[in-house]
Amino acid sequence: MASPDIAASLGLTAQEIDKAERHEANLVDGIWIFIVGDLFIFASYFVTYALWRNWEHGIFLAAQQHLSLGFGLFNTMALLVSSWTLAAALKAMRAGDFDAAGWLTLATMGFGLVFVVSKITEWSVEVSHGFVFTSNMFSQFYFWTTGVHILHVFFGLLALFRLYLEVKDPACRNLATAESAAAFWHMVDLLWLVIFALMYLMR
Amino acid sequence: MTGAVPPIPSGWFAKMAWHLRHNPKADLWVAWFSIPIAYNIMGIVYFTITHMMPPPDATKNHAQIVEFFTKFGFEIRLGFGIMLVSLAFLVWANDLIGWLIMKMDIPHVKAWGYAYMIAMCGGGFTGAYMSAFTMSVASMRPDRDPAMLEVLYDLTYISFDGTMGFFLFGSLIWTYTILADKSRLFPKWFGYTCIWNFTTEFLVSPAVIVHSGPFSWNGTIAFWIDTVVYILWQIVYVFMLYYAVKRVDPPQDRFRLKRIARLTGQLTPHPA
Amino acid sequence: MQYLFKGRIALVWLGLTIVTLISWQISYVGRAGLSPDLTVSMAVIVIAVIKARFVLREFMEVGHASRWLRVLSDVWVVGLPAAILGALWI
Repeated sequence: MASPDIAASLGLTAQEIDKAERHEANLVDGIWIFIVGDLFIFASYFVTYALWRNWEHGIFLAAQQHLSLGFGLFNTMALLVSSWTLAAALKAMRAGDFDAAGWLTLATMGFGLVFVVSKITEWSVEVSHGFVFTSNMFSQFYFWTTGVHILHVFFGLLALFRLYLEVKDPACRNLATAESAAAFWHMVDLLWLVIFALMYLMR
Repeated sequence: MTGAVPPIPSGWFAKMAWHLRHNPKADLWVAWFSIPIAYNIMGIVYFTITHMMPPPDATKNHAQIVEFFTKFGFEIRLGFGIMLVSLAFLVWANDLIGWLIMKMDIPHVKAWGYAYMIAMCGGGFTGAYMSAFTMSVASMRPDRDPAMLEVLYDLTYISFDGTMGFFLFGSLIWTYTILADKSRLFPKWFGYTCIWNFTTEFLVSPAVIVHSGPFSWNGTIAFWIDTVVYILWQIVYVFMLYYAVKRVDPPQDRFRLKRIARLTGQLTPHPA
Repeated sequence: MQYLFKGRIALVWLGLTIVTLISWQISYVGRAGLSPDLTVSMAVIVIAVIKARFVLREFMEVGHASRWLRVLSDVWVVGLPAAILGALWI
């Protein structure tokens, strides 16, 4: 919420303040076009996965045993918490509390890094058990999809780092950048939720 | 400044001739027009006769490969004959983009422009020319040693997919420059759509590892989805280039300016 | 750290966590056999997209966004499980 004295000094009416505060995510606002497109492109990958799962159900089911639900759950929780801290960071920014926003952004990045480390560990465990990209159809989908996802996580971490630097520098603080970076990170979380269901939980 | 420029005539050809003669951005527009023409020719030829899109199976054995080149030999060579000419126009396309990059408001703008052009030239060679050469060589004499034909077959499609490395680099450069550009020559949302394009170029890499299924060089994921995204993006980019060329300042023609200065007496005439 | 509890975000996070555990249980219970189970599959997918919708609406604030964005995101949320169900059935 914009602090009342700033709003008052700008001579804005209550209605104008309300409009400015509402997150007017314009469809033509770049990052949203990217996010929607990315969601639909991933959707095509998910549907392809579902088709192949249908055609080779036995192989997929057997290969799925190699995945550790524990790891999957841990990764999901890491990303969910990171989304929570990022939402809180945005709230802090809107309230003008940039110190808190900085800490919360760092926390988000921290949880994001936890996810990355966990995922890489999980992969190494799987590879050491002989479950590699070329093992079977399921493994191809699994490694490829989680690989593409982790690429998105890396870009998200970069965006968050940029956000952190901007929050720290009073001259650069920009709510629009923050909202874009946050939207991207939440999308990364969202995709993982679907990947978790498709790869780990489906029978 | 230019002296009396005759008014635009009516009639299609006359108008075109007028623009070629008097429009300060004539060369930019010629370059721009060549893009949809060249890419359409390329698309039609690639999809119908050259058997590049979609690529045939990676799992063909010797006998099937020999049969492939014997059966389709003529149309492959015809297609690539056409391609070798139209490919040259793609140089224009990439140079136009490189030039537009150099018009952006970012630091080290010339470096980015040249880097883009080099990346696309590399990609054009390995992706377009190399496959043209290997396919034409293979289909010229299908009675070669089958092992040799198999090498040429694999080389064609691996280089066709592998060229994504170069195009990825070029796309990345263009994406970065669009997003960093303070003058907003291209809208930011277009920069974000370029990200889809370069991501799908990343995702072709499994094609060199697996030979069948959705991750092979003709698979749903490593080929079809990538190609659909690419074609949609391409259509958008042609329009974006149109608006960018309209928006940008006309190029400086130093010779023309000197000629005009001489004509109007501001410069001493060139010694005979 | 009071921003973590501002508005609805803490509640949303808690809800997402609980629902994740529920879907884990649904799948884990059926894990004993290697038999395919379409019901379990569809249940976890539907739960996943419901979670996704909450992330979209509450965290990404699509709820406050333009109509097109809301419509498109809902198309995705509804269309994806439908397409996956279709793919699993045919």
